[in-house]
Amino acid sequence: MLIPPNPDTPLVKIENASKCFGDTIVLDRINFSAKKGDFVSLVGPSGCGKSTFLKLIAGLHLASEGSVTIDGLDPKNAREEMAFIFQDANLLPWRRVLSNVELSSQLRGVSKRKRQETAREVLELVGLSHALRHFPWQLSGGMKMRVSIARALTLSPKLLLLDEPFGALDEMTRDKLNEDLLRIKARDGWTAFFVTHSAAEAVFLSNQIIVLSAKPGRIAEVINVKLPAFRDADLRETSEYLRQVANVSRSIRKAH
Amino acid sequence: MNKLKAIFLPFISGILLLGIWYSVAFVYAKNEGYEVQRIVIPFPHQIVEALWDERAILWIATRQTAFAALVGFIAAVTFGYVLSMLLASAVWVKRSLYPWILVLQMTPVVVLAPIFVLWIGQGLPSITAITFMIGFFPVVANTTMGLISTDRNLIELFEMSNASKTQEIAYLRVPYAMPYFLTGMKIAGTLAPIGAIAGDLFAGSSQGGVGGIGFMVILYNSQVKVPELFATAFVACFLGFIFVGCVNWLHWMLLKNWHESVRATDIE
Repeated sequence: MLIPPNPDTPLVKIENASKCFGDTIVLDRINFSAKKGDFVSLVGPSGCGKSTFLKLIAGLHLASEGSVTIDGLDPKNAREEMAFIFQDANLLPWRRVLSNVELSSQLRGVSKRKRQETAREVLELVGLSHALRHFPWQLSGGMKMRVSIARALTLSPKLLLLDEPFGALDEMTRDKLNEDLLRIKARDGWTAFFVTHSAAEAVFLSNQIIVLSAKPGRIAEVINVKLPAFRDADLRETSEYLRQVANVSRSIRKAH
Repeated sequence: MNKLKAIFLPFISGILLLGIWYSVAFVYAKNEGYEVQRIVIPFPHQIVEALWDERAILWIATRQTAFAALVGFIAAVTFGYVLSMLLASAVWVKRSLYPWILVLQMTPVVVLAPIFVLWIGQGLPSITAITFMIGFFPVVANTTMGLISTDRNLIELFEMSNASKTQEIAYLRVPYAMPYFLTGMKIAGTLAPIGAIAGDLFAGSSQGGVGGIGFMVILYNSQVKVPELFATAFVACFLGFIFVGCVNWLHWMLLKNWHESVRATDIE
């Protein structure tokens, strides 16, 4: 039975979802929907359940109550449509860059020729064509993260889940990766959930920011970022951008 | 410069040690006579002579011990790996078996040796079994550790790709456990010649010619052939070096590209 897709159906729908580990309530009755093409950042004090939120969407954790659906499907059945980018780059140290990027499609049984072709393509997109034969230990932190992004892009996901991917990088590298991420998004048009500690990063990337409060994690506020759709490095110098960053920072402080 | 030192310094210290040995033996000979000195602390050149005179028989003994060590080692590595896979396959398997494996490991193999002889008889079968027992546990302990300690994030990465259990084992757990397995294998490799010689001491026999190195030790000892005993020690040491050298080479070959333990210098 095939149900025709409804353009107004949200891609990600979270209804009354709670998550407990033992007696601890980590997330408490979360309600949120994201449309196709949204870039949603999750910010909040540490320990507020940002990563848990993301893993609920990925189906890596199951909601204790309530429901999470992706395109109307249970997250576990929607894995084909999403990719997860982990906190550290999470590369297999025994594989070269190219074959690390091939991993996801290899696990899905894509033919060797086809997956190499795709891997080369996405590596070019993230600017790593020169490093195909390198091993992960030969790469800088920023390059490793680029490989990780490339790996996530190989299966043309509709939904990208990023768990504080740039947290360990220096500011310059982080800014550059933010710009590249938006450039790739403009090309591919996926939807993203992005966990971060940085208000500036959240404002730069997102059209919506979820501010979580801690213990238990609840949605304290959803902020709509009113900035132009096209954004580049120059945006960081505008007063409107700085004002919004200050606004988000204040909101995070209040959520404590 | 450093390379030169690495060769030069051991050479100097070797000469020095030889000198000390000669002087002690010489002083001993002056006090007790050369006959006694020969069977208490022989001159190095007497050891070399003994080695040359006994070369044929020692060569056969070494071959036999090397064979027993190799068979026992390969069996230990193979069965060790298979058992590790089994132990890592499910928590209940490990919970039920691991304590008993530890009990067996804590039992010194030399105590078990006479029982092996009783069960499977004198000679090569027992010697191999003793070698196997000694090398088996380090392989199991290390490999199991590697298989079950696989990075949680990497497992989640595989889960996100809907990887099957077989894919997870083949592409993740086995390579992840490789350094652990090879560490176990290195320990087994160091122990294998020792195990084969110890096994020979208990279960060695001269059926069909001569026994292994352990058997020669018993023989020379009973005949008070002390220079020959030293020569045997030298041969055993040589065998150990070859064994460990081969295993280390394998370790290096398999991990050189990616693992910290063998990566000498960064390329960039």
